[in-house]
Amino acid sequence: MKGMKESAPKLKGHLHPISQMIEEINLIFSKMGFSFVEGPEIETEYYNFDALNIPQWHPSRDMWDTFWLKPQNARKLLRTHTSPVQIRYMEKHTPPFAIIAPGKVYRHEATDATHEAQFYQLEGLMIGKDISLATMKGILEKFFSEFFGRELKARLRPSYFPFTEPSVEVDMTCIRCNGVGCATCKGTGFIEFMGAGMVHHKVLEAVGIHPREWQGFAFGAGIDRLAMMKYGIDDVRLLYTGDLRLVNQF
Amino acid sequence: MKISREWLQTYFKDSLPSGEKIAEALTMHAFEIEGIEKTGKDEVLDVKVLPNRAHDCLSHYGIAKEISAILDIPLSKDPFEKENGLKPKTTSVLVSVKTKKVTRFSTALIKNVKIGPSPQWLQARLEALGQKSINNIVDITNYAMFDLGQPLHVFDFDKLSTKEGTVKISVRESGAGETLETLDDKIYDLPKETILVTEDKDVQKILGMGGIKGGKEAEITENTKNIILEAANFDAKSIRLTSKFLRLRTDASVRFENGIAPELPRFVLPAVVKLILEIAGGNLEGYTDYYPRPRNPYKTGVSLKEINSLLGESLTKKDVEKILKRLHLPYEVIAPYEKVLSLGKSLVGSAYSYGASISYDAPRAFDCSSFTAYLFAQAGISIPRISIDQLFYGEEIQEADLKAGDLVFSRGNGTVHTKTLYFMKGKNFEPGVSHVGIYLGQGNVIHASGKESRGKVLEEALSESPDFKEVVSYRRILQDDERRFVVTAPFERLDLEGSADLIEEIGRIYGLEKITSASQKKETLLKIDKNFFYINKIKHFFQERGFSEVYTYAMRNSGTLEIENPLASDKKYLRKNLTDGLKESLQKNTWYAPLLDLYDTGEVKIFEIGEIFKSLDTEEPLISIAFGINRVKSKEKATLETKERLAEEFQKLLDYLGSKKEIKPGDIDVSVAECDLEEIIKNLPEVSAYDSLKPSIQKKYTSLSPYPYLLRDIAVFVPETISSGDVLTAIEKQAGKLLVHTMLFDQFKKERKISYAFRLVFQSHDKTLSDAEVNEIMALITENLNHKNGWQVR
Repeated sequence: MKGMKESAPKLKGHLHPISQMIEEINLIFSKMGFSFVEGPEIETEYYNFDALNIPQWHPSRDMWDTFWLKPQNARKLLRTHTSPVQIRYMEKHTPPFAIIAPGKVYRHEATDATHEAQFYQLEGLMIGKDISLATMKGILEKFFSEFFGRELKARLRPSYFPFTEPSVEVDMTCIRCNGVGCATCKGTGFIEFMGAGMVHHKVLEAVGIHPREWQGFAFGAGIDRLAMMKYGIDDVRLLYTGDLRLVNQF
Repeated sequence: MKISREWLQTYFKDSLPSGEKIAEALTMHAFEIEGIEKTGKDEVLDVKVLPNRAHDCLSHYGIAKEISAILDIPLSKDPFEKENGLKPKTTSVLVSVKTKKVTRFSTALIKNVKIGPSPQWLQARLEALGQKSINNIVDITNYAMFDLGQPLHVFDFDKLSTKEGTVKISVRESGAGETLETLDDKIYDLPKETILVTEDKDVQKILGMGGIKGGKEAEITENTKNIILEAANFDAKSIRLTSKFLRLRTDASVRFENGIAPELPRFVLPAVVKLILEIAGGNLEGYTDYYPRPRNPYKTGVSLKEINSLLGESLTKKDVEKILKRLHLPYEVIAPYEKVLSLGKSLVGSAYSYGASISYDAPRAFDCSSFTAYLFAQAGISIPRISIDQLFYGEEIQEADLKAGDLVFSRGNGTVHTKTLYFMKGKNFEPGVSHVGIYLGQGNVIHASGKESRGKVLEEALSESPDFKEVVSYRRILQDDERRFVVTAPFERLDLEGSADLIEEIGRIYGLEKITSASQKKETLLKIDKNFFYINKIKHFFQERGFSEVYTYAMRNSGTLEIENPLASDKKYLRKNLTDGLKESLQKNTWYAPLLDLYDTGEVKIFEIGEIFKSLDTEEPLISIAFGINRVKSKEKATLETKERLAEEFQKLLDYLGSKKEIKPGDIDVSVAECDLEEIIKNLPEVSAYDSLKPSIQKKYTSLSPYPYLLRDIAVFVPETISSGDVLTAIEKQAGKLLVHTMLFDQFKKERKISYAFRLVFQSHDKTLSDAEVNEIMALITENLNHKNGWQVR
């Protein structure tokens, strides 16, 4: 088959879209002083729940459907969020600090085109002297704008998480219609993007950070959801099937 | 929870805005709305009440209060305003509560009611929420629950055995092997320690599972004449455990498992009685009320500085006061130290009781630290309950700087704590603390002196107090005497625990959407993660070498670690390597090869980096790196065996990184190489900055077809002036959108003619293509190409 090709074969491979996003997310946040931190996917009940002010019997635990590992009495689980990474970091470091913790998490949920039992999450944490919801809003807007390549606004709404108080939902200008209102944002001009809030004093206390001296925010978003938004991926399950028909598009 | 607009309207004189407007207001200031349903002239909102507001907002009154605060319109009534003290009392019902899991148990006995259908308005209220109307009595109790948030239960008085006209009820925890037939004719095997309402005699009829579901035994029927109403308060944790165990969630259990206020029955029960007398007639015999430990009103506070510091806004005192009023939160504005000192002095003489509770025993009795915690709580500062924790909460000061209001800690006869218990648990303080008091100024201290000392709250000279012989530390709670808004939480607002809760309340009514973004001062030091840095480097290396990155599933059909509750039987284990998943991926992608651009190279080349699982250890996660090659065209002879190719690529990677790792035979399987990432990067140098990225191009994803593809080859002789692109265009034009991929796989020249051979891939997004369909397209293409001058399909 000598000399049959008119153009050189494409030798370069492709990186998984989630990898590309995490690398980009890290660069955006590192410019704002956020360090990249990782942790184990198997966690203890303490780091995944108790340290985050989610006691065992509390109804708020229902917010995280959990895979438990055998033997049951070991109380080990697949982390349901990357918040344990934040706890582990706070235990070992003295504020001020700012970190992001992207990583794989697991939820015991029925899967469909928009839900997978394993997926990627981006969490962030900033603790300092005068860190406020306004600081957080500024940082997230900067992130959204750089990540999507145009100026985007954030909007805060009330929410509840056991580990933050006040807790908020962070909406962002709808990237389909630029805030005009369309089917994607149900005419509101905003899309729900992440949960966030000011770190609960009990969480700070539990890691030995004095809540009277330090305060800060934490946020968490699904990276898979960002992929759906950014690239129009319509079935998140395909991200984890080792399928080059998807990967090679990126 | 389903909320009817008409029902809400009963709480307002002013006409409420449309359901849509209410939904918008709630969304931006309280709760998300899952849907609005129009039924007749009513509108029903499905309100997603947040877990921390399940105490008070799983009710129309709770939502009405929210709307009143958000829209700033006054409530026309307050169902928790007036109470009659649950009078008169009756002796015809005797309740004995034998478990600590029941904090209140109130009943009302009504005789001679007439069971019948509910009036129209009541049926309509329940129907709006999708509730079935049963009869007037049951409907009224359900109505009260959806209106005010207190679940109730009704028993048929005459189905219980009486002794001299008195019914004896026992509330206890279940033992082993007890069962209950519930109102819906189901039989439950009860777990131990289930809260039961039973008859109180030797052979007990079980009347119901407290707080979850009633039993068949004392069910009311159309013949019922005399009824016992129950309004109680059950332990949240117990209800949750039983409800989870039995997989039985009811409107009652949902409310109890979130915790509701034990104050509710004294308002709700009389309201229900009143409604029953109006609708079903009868006469009230009286009430019983078991409520041994009433809780003190709870106080917490916040300063303007704290509010603005957390929100990042600049609210004024006036703004805050206006919002607190809208929220119906009773408050006072006080100077905290002044309050602590004056209140403290007024409590001189109160009794000492070790372990006295702030919520229940104060201000009747105190121990040393409940005294200080109580005073600060009244001044709007929630400090820890235990002396050692209070010490760590406060800021250390020197004796010379001592000011009125500072805490003085000593070590004496009592239990000496050296380690914090709850606040910043585990912090050490030598020499330890056993006693605390508040400095009053001028050398005086006020404190609750222990039983072994004087046993009461007293004021005395610090230097002469036997309890402060050995002072170990002085601590300051607040830096200044900035005034605080001290809120007395309405009893149903169990969520209001500290200053942050008040800031949330103020923030959301003010409008979180109004918060303007602030720029951040860079005060943190950026640390570069070595693993992440090298992982990215490795990924880009592989990409340059023609490998594509895949993510495979972490839950598999085999492995070392097993999942207790797997999603499916083939996902019972956590992957012990990446190799197994990668082999499957190689195979799959070989099949997909015609759809992929990689076909030209004749190989599928993939890699993955991810965590694998071999033990439950969480301290050292195992990050593995693996890559594999599979030849697509098996008839072609490989120049090197795949294994050697892998070894070669592996070495190139190690050389590129400068890694000292030596490749071991075990690292390479037939088609996949895998090793521990740590082995590769352990000797690599530390790094100081991340590599920059090329600006990413906005990519648009094309969704994948779930249907199989069909292949056809076509070869065409054309004049030598014609390019392969010209031929391809002609093919594509005829083929239409079912042709998803093409590849030129052969070309040669012969006598001024040139032959191009293409592989065509056909696939539909809607169905499985049949051979006949594709053959038809191919026939059209062939005909079209042959039609051109000098072209000939071979």
